[in-house]
Amino acid sequence: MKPDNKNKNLINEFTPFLERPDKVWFLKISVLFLFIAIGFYAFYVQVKKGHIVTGMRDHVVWGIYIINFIFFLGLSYAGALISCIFHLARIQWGKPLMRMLEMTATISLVIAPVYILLCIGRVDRLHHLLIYARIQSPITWDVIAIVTDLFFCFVFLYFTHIRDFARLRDLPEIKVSRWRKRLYRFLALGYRNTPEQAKYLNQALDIMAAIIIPTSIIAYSLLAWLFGMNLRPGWHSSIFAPYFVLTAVYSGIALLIVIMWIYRKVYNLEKYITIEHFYYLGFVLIILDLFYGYFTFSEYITEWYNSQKTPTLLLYKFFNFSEYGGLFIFSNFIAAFLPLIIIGIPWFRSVKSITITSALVIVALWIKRYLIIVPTLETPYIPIQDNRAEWVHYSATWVEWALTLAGIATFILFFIFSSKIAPIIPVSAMEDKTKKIKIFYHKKN
Amino acid sequence: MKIQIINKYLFNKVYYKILFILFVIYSVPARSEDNSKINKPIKSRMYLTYDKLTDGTKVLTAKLFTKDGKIFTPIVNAPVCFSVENDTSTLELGIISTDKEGLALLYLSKHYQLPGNLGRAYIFHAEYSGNDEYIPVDGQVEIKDLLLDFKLAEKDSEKTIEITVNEYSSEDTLVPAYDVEIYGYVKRLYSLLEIGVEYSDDLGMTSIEFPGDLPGDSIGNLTVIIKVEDSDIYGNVEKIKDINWGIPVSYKETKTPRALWADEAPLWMIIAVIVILAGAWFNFFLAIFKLYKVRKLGKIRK
Amino acid sequence: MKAFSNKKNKRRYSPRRKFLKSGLVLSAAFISGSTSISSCSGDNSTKSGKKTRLLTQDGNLVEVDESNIHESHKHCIKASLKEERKGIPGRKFVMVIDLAKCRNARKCIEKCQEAHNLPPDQEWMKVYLIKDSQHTEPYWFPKPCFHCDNPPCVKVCPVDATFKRKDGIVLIDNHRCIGCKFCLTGCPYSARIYNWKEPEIPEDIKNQQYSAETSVPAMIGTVSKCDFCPDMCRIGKVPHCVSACPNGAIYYGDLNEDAVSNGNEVVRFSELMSDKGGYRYAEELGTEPCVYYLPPKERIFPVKSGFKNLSEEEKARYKNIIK
Repeated sequence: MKPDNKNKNLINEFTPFLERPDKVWFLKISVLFLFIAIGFYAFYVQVKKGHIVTGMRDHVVWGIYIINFIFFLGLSYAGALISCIFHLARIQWGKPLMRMLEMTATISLVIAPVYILLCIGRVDRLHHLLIYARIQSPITWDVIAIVTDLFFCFVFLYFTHIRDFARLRDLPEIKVSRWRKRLYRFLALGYRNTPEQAKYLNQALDIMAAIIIPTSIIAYSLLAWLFGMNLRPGWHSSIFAPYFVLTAVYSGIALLIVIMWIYRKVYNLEKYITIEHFYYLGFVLIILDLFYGYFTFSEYITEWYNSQKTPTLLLYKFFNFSEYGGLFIFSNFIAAFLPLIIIGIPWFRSVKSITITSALVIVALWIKRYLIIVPTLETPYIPIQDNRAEWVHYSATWVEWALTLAGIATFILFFIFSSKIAPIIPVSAMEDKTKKIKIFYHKKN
Repeated sequence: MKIQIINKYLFNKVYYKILFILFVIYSVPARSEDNSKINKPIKSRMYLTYDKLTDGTKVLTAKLFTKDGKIFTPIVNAPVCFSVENDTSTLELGIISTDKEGLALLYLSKHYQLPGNLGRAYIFHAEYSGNDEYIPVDGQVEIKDLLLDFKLAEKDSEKTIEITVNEYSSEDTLVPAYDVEIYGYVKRLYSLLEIGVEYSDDLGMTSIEFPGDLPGDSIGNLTVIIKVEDSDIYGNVEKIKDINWGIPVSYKETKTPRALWADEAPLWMIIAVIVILAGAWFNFFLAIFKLYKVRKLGKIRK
Repeated sequence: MKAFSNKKNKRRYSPRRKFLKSGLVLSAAFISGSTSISSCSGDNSTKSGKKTRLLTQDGNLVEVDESNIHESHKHCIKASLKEERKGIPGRKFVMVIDLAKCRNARKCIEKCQEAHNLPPDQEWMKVYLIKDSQHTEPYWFPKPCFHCDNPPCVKVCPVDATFKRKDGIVLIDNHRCIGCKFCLTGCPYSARIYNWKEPEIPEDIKNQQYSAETSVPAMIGTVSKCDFCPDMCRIGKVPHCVSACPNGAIYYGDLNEDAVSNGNEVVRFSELMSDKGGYRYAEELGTEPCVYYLPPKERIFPVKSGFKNLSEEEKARYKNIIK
């Protein structure tokens, strides 16, 4: 937490991770590839036979693909949002976490749209989204927002890497292949850390950070409106956009804690990712947990109090244990109360308990998305009267689960790969500790 | 010797076998042919209807069909011979083949004079002589010529259709036809909308009130059809006129408004999207420009 | 130019110009003037330049050149895609369903499925059994697509694959649909159906050019729904569900003409609304449906009679309503 100012050569500590990987690394990679291969097979089956192989039917037309889409997109926007806030607010203790957040933002933003493609019946006609685009459709908004955000996140990620690339380029002793060295040279853009260059780079970073914050909030709100604009009980709610953004940040912080814990274990980073990091983020988690509970309560109390027919029917499903009662209680207890108990009471508080709570919160929030999508679609205004069980109740098939696991595997795989290209912690930024970073809104001195 | 034995052998067994097989093969289709011949001809049925159209053309329609339970099947391409009988003379009008719906239609132009006394009923015949499959059938309708006409009267904003019906007396002069059931219709997209039913009085006259709130076309035109339907004496008689009593409906192609469901989005939406995107991408390119400066400085140093 | 083409099309598609009946015309000198025409069967090739008189569908005699007969018939079946997006000029289609006359005979569904080559598990017209509250009597509720004037499904379509025409009908361009399923969630009436697998339809129908007005052939990964049968209107016939209903419960027609027909009788739409208390389902959703309902007052059939022809499986659909 309090790294001494002498760590000028921090980079040397992290270069070994970039060098040639060991056998265990390859084993990990191949296991992940196995999952991805199964996912590809499932995708092949789906393309071959149509969406009939999924659990989706005419009433529940969106299943766990969309849930994964919301989930990953939420992680992405949360990652971007938090890292940009850390950056703009110059939060010094957040520095070691920046790269994790940026990686989360970018990687999950690459994975999330894949789930939308899985959900689309005619992927061969994807270009229609451009040539026949209708600005009235929330899908068009989402396409624009995701493409914009993808650009911004990639560019911001690159901006934050420039200093590290420059450091790596200037390390003669690093044991990496020649193309990697050449790559570092190319990507470093001739950055020599002159005061002028530093000024411009900082300005560029500040501009990107400033623009990513509203972009990610708008983009995730648009996703919420994709549901909120539908005349459906449980979706047609004006609280949806802020609720979605909050849930995203909540899940993003929870994931950050889990990634921190894994990095600490795998790379022995106890020196940089300290107990205080866990505590600080744990407190953030409590605040978000309270907000989440407040939003959830306010969402359901308004629905329940008015007791309109179809929304009430939906609410009864949440409190009926033969329907969604179990999932509802599980998800809301964990997401709205568990952090409060485990992290809030000092007696329970520890790195391990915070991490486990965070992992549970991630699961609970995934289930929360499931509860947003599936029960609503099962409760249309005209109650479903169908004699086909799979038309009435949704249950995901192996194809959908395989592709979900493949998505998670890809997420981890990309993280592992990225850790081979650049240091897992923004070393140059941490070396920069002594220097005061000029804040972009300062007047010229 | 040997050949003889083979011959004998063949003759005894294979030959008969082949013969038997051939017999079976050839007898099967022959038998089925026999079956169809044995089948009794099917009973055919006929409806004959008489229609007098608005321009005075008379139409005889013979519908030829068979009935099996509740299923009606038209007899296609069957010759139907039409004839007319008045007094004692019979005149053959023509032979017409039925179409794919089993209909044979005969049109008699209004200029075509039917022989005989107008005051008496004509007996129209249609005859189908049948063939191997169908039993012959014939139909007959007895029709007295009816002259139907109507005019429009508008009194105190009340619109009425005044109808006159006449027939020929035995002296070939026109006399009122009384107690004739007359239907009034307005033509609509799929069928006719009834506006009233009346019986003609001793003067052969009646009137039907016309509803004042019926939409017409763009200038208020609509088609009125006055009909005598399924009359035992007169058959079907109709008179059609276009009148200007409808309420004009504007068919002008209005431009579709800018709406969420229309082709064109509401203006504010387009403006909002452009402003937001322009704002975001402007900052993006500003950042890229800063980066370009970093790179330029790097090159200078070299 | 545009006005001209409109006029031309209007004439072409007008039911008046459909020559559906064939016959023989006798002129004054009837032997010499007799002509035999078969306009629809198309087995006789007729010479051009010869005038002939035909009985049109609505009972009018018209004189036309024989060479036009085949041509005009051919064109009356399919409109171009541009025409299909525009709609039939001057029309505003509405449907009225008399709940008092429905006894769940399911003939509308069967005929619709037959006409649109649908498998038995795809119902564009659905018949629900609805019990509004504890002490009210349940009733059968046939539900086609409502062809809303403020259609939520059209709003959300990202590629303009589903569109609202000038004559009020909402159709789907099957070749543009990307299968995002957003319109299925957008529709509050669950009227839309997704082709989850390769549709099992005969090869010759599958190879047909898709027409939005007939919604045939269906295509995997795209959406389909009740299309209000504008193709039937173009040949002057009511939709399949209307003509198939044994009880005449479904009326269909043009609001501009203020007349709807159930295949047998024609009634004034405004009279139906005022006399029988017509209403629209879930008016509060603001979707402005084009389908109106007449309340199940003075019913012809008891509710139970709707179970008569149902298989056990189909009966299971309604188990929540009648215990």
